[in-house]
Amino acid sequence: MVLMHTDRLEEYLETILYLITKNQSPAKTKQIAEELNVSSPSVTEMIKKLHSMGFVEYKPYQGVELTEKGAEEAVRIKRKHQVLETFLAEVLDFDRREAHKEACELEHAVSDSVLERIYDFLGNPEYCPDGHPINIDKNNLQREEAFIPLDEMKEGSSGTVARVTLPRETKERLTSLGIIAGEDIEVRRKQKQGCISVMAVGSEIALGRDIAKKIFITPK
Amino acid sequence: MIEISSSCCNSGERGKNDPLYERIPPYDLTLAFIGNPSVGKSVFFSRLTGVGVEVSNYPGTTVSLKQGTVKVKDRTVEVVDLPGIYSLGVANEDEKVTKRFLIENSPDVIVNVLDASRLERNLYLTLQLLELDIPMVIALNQVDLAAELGILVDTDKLSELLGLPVVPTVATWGVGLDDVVLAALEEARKVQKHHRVRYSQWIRQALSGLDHAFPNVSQSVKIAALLNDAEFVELCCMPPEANAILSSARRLRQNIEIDYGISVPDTVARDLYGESGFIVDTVVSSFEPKKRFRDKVDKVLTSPHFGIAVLISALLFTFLMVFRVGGFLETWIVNDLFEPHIIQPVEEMTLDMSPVVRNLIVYSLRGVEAGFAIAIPYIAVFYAILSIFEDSGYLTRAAFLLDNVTHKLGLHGRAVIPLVLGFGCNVPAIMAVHALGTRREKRIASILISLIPCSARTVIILGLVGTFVGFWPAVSIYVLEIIIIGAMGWILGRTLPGQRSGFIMEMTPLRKPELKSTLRKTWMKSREFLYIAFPLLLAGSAALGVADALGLLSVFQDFVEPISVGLLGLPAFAATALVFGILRKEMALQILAVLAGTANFAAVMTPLQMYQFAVITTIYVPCVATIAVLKHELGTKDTTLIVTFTIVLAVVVGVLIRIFGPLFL
Repeated sequence: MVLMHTDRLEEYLETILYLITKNQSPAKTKQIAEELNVSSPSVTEMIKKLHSMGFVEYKPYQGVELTEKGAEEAVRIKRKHQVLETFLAEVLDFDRREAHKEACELEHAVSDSVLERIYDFLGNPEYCPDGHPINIDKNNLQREEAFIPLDEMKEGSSGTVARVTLPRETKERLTSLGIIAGEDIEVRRKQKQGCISVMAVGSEIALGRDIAKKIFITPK
Repeated sequence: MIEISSSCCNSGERGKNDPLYERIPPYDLTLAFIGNPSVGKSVFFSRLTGVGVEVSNYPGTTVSLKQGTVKVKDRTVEVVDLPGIYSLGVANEDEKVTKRFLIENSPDVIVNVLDASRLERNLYLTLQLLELDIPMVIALNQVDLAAELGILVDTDKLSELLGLPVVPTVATWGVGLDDVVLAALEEARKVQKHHRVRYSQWIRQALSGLDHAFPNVSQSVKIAALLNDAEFVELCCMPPEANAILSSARRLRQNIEIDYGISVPDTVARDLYGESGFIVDTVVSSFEPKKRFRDKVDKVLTSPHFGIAVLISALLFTFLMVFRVGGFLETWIVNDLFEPHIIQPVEEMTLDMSPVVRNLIVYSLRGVEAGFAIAIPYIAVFYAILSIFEDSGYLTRAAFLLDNVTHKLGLHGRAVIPLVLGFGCNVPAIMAVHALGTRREKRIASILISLIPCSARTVIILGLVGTFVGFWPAVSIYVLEIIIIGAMGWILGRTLPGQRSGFIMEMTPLRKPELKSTLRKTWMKSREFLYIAFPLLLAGSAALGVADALGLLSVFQDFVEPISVGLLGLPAFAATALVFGILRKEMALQILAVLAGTANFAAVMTPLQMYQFAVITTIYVPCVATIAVLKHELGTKDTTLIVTFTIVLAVVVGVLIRIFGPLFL
């Protein structure tokens, strides 16, 4: 993949942020190389460049940490990604995978003012369609729990509801049926491209695909 | 005046001015049934009240409340059946109405019906109700089903934990019904010591913050304020106090949400579930039920291929049953019962009366005839089949399978049921629309249903086109109708404003339907139809009779001639036949025969005219009974719109057939 200079820089920062939040430890050169699909020597070279710009700290045998400036930059790009992804999925009706791919490209081109307009247009959502928070606190890069949307769960699998990103009324309906963050559910039936049914507090609830897409589960 | 146990609620006075309140006959106390949907609440109600039931919409809503009075031990008790709800939230109108009823009409005692097989989820509502401090009795229903599923509930322990009487019942068999009512009357107006939910520390902290500022406000109001349920708080407290509570609660809520990063509504809900989980652990002893044959059947019913096959057969079976049995019964009621024994003798008796009076009597009787000819054959047969599907749990599986298809019509899985009903008779179909979540969906479904060729329209399609034009042209009318309905759904789904609700539905466990419950449901629904449709049917028929006697119909015939003859190319008398079709669709054909002077339509109409006539009758204006239920479900404005729209559509399609029909016929 040939990227322009700043694009490449941003891509690196984003990857490092992703690895740090995922593993809750400094990012290893090898992991970065794997994520970006490049060779280890070119990663090392880029790290040096990022270090000279004051974005990262490198500790031998431990890995790469973001400096405050680096974290700020990385969070800014990540946010762009999430907002664009939301826009592509919710407004332009891309499916989640495509939206993610497109957002990876667009995030480097879009200006801050365009992005804020889009964010306002979307009604300042809290979460992107993957259920990840859009506004990340750079001082508190917590480990993000791995969760998947309910419509990607397999029949018979179970997990804990992590997050429900639906309008208030629908959310309340689900709450009164026992589908709420922190409660366990089990997938009972699943139709290809269709409904899904789950066991929640002892009764079976059928959910349309649109709803299931916005319920996120930490699988067991 | 009834004493209200909840401390800050002073809205009992308001109840007096309530229109609903004034119509209620004097009674000694009020008992209300409340519970989740499909727990058997209505069975309690109907067993208790028998015939004297009043169904009325709660003021300003489309939510209907069923009320009746019973005499128990020389006390007159008003019994109210509240809509089935999952929580006392603000998510839908049923919940809001229930809350308003509980506060404004302040029942003396409530009976909370619980499904023992799904106790944990059912207790969520119970715990919310307990906070209202209204005397309460729990009817622990479906203990038999629960035992089948391996769930045994210790009712004494549950009663002790919650601080109120608990009576185990099996509503379908009538077990424990009397005990519940007696227990409820015993508890009415008593002060019960209810179990309190132990909220988590953040919520308790906020509650004590509110305690400090508003010492006289009850717990339920404070929780509602924390959840930002302004409607509830305003119902319970005077405006200045309500505003003060709401704004302090808002501050406290924001503080918690920022300081601890938790959501208050979610935390309250989790606390309630935690509590009900604890209660269930204490009172339920469950054992693993043996893997049953039923589980395998259940799996198959929603499997991709076989499931669809079963579904299609079930729909065909329903359609055929309604069509065959209903058609048979209708012919019997009209031709063997009403015509020879009632209509004809009355016609002879009234021969020498003035035409206006004579028509008034005869046509009113025809209205009654139409009512019976729809209600008993179609509605009763249909509801009998439907309640078998419903009780067995199959209906929810059908909706599960079809959610995808109905999405394309701007609807969701639950709409399958009413749409299928429509082929039998539009009336019960539109009555079933109520369960469809948002108003937008109710509107789309109602419009589509009123276009579905019901069995009465099938009589015309087959009797006119099928007999005199040919079998395939008759089939083509069905195809045409389905295309129109599909296109309408597609357009409405994209253009109609309003909220889309996703598909969320509780799947009821599979079980063997009981004959008793089937019969009772059939009776209840048919009765409901009679209540809704009869007044309009009678008034409509009488008005038509008078209009006929005064010669207004021929004036009408002349008036619409430019359209009926000029635009559509139909014979002039066809317009009058169409007017009668509004009363009962297949009457259009009978009147057409009378006016044409022969039942051999081929002699007086061209095949094209017959085809046109059949299509127009299927589309234009739903029959009077359908209009009555439309008005009941959607209100006058939407009903007028639908009626106007169908007339326009019928004329447009009629003209198109006149232009393009000759190419085919």
